[in-house]
Amino acid sequence: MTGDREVIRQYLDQLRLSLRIPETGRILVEAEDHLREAAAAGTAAGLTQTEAQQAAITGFGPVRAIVYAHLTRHGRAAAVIADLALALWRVAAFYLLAGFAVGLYELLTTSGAAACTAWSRSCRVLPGMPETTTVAAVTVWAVTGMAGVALLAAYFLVRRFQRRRGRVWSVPLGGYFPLMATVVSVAAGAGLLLADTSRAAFMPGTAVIIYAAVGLAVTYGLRMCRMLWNQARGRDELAAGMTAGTLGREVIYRLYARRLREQLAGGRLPRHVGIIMDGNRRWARRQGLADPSLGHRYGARHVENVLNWCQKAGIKHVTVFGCSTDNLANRGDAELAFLMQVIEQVIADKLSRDPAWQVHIAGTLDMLPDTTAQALKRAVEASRDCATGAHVTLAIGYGGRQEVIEAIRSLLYEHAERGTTLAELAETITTGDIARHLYTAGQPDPDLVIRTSGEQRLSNFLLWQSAYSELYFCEAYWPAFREIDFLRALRSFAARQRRYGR
Amino acid sequence: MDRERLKGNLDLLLLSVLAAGPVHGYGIITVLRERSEGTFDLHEGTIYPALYRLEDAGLLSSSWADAQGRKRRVYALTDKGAAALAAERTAWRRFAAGMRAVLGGEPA
Repeated sequence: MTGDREVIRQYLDQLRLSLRIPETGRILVEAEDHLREAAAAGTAAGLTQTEAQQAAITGFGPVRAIVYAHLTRHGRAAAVIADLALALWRVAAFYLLAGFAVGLYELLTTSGAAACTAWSRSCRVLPGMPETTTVAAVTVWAVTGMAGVALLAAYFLVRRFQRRRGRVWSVPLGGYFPLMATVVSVAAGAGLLLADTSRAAFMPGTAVIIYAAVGLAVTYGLRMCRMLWNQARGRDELAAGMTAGTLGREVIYRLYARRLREQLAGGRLPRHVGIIMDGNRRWARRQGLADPSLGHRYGARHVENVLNWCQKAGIKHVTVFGCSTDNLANRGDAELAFLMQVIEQVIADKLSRDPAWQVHIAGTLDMLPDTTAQALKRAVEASRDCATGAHVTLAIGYGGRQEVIEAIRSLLYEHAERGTTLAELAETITTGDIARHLYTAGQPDPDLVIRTSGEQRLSNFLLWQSAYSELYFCEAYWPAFREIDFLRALRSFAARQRRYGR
Repeated sequence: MDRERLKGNLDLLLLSVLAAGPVHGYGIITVLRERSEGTFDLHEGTIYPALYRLEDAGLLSSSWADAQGRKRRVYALTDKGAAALAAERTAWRRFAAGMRAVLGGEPA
């Protein structure tokens, strides 16, 4: 990974926007694999990174040539026409529903017969059309609505069939629909405007067009903005690929989250939550990201969201397990380098810029690369005077057993300085003595430890401190851990009776 | 071999590269370039549609594989593909022999 404005990325973005065929997702993955490998061959031959990437792209061919080759394979005309027909179909459904909505609105705002004639006027697109009777208007209105619903339902059935056969647009704004909708709306709007000015009277049919056009524009404008925004923030297009289905789901999540929050109100809240964020790579693989390490970036960004949820819930102590000593020993160099870069860029920088949380570090900084250790120290310094009383501990290069050993070592040194003999120490030592020397000294022990991605282990996390913690395991991979999962964990905590070994 | 002639015989070339065993897209194109001794000058990206077409025709099969943290598509010859390759090869040899005989070139 060398930044977001990499040449290959730019090329792939262009390709993504130019391809309007179902296999776009697969084509992009294969193109990326090809380009990366060709670029690697180039750097091996002594070119710089950028030169090698440019050479790879030149060999691969201009975007236009690739698009043309794919279109001709499809039987260009047939594929394009089929796609355009589907797009038109959907636009037609959209317009019928818009007409229905206009009628409904007028029915609700004006009364009876007036509404019917108003609606029949609204939908009288052609200048020469005769006035209709009330009954006819209502019939036409109802048929319009039903036809719209039927068309849309049939459309989704066809899409589902196509998806089963693997012909789906896996990128946002794929296919011809947005283009078609815009063209039809603009053409119809312009035509009506022209007709209006020439007749010097407001054409009622304009209402339907305007409703539909505004609806389409808002839907696609939002989706486009989202995609651009995500791209600008360096996120991949996959996260931005929001469909109507996911939008609907999001609304339901939000409602459900609100209900969960209401249930939690007044319940027992953990003072300190420990979080084992697991599953970044598996999540990335499931999302079809070309590089599973990218999961770490999404995962790291997600920490911010979860901290916000904690803040909202009123939790003052959070410990996040980002990377264990075992990870440092066992993961590949490239992945670790990337992980460290992510920790520096995302976690440390974010936390030093916005000190809503006082940052603490748990772990051995000496095992980390210098730049990472520096970034973490800066975050600690920058948030030292944080007045919110909220503490976040980043467990990075952390191991529970190592922590206990360090604590004992430091306790032994302390007593050695004071001249205590080992026998005296052995007689007087208490759990408090150890706790005082842990990385988390001075903080309450975690009441709740959450682990994502379905693994049911502590994996050397807060070994000493979690002696009496409630454990909560969640199936979701860390980047996909939602607020409702978090609230469910809190609800489960509130429902449990803590016993502290009694 | 000029671009048009290469394009006309691309299917046969792709099938024959895969006769040695499953390869991913970049691998196929590298072999093609090496074997054609530098006369291969198609845009590499335009080979993929040909692979997709052969797959649709049932001559190739493909599956995802993981390579250095990336996903890649690996292509393999199907039985139907192997049969088609054998038939095409015979046809091509006969055609080439005929051409040689007419042009009166040097023996193979």
